[in-house]
Amino acid sequence: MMCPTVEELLAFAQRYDEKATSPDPPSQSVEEIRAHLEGGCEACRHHLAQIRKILSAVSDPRLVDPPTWLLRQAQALYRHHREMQPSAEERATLAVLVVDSFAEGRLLGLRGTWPMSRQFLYRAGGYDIDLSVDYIEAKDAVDIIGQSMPITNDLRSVAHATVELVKASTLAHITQANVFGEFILDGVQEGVYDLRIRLKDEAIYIPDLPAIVRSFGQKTTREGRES
Amino acid sequence: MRSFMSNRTGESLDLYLANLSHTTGYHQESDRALIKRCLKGDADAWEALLDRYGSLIYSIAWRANLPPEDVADVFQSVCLVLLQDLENLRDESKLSSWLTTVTLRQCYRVRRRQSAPVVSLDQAEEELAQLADERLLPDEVIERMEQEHLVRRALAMMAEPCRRLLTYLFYEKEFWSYEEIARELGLSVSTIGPKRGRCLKKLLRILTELGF
Repeated sequence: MMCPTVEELLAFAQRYDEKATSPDPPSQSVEEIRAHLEGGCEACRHHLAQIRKILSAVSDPRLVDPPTWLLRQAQALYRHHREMQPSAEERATLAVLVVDSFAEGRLLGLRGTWPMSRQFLYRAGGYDIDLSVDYIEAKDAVDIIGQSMPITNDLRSVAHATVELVKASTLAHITQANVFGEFILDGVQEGVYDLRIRLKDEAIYIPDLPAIVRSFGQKTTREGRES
Repeated sequence: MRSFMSNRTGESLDLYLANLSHTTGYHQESDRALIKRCLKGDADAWEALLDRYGSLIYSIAWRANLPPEDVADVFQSVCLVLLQDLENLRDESKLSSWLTTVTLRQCYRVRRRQSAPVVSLDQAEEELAQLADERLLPDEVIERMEQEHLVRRALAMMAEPCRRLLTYLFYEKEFWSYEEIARELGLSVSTIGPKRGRCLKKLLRILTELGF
């Protein structure tokens, strides 16, 4: 018999594979295909094996797409990685964002009011950096309250770290952490900043920190009304 | 219009195909070519690599049953490792396997974060051996995901109407008659069978080139 077409092999794999049980009686052509394969046609056996692999791969899909916010973070890593310029004396580690309480529209407000606080968790090597951006109505500004936490629990590496908030290459705010690695940057105008935490032996770099709470809410509310 | 949920979470078939059409250009480029462009400062090439491998990296971390913040950590950490190692990748043709290995290592790293601090090298080696024995994911699950990734990649490399024809063939949960497919694609019914056969042969050829 001549080699079956790819379509015939596909039909064979889908309905009449020797492992499958089919209620339909095998047709003459199916028997011929089976005989042809058992006769040792390598090309057809290879095609059939590939078709079975495809059917197996797509029958129970396992791939899950990353959420948009995470994909955007990963896209931005390219630019941040190229822009990051560690000084000669210190090693700089680029932090990755793992939690943003405003990501994907997940808003943790109470009783339908807009939340006045936004939480972030960044990770950089052996450190977690916990940040809370709190909107202070009286100042029409935000306070950034943070803590660097080493996974080794040895606070000596984070004690008294210098914390710098930079916008457009200009130092906007600076402070010093306490003995527990906690720090506050208060009265910060809402906006996007780079945060640099200078530890004893290295620096942690958080690019494009969105210190935005109230403006985020107003923008989204406006869009909601317009739609 | 018949509604259909593809294997991509929360996305309809139409949107998936529309997104593919928009980014068809880079799908023909090899990993080697994209890496070269990345090294020259081309951010679009980086986005293309992410689009190509993002689901595979994310899915491994997701299926390893890590908490969401750890999945985000692993995903970005793998991307950072890739960025740092772009220049040193010895064999770009094996990028998929390399990324799978790096992703699993990052999954082990975040799992180890949750355990007590290591105080000696012996303890570290003992813990690493223990973690390796635990196996975050069975090998066959990882292999299936890699194969699914290759099928999706091969489909993305195909022009229309082959891509849509084969997507209906492999991802459609309900049976589409030749009349319905012909109406959908604006083709005559008599051409659907032979065209699908040709598209299938093309797909098998692409998959062979990709090492399927």
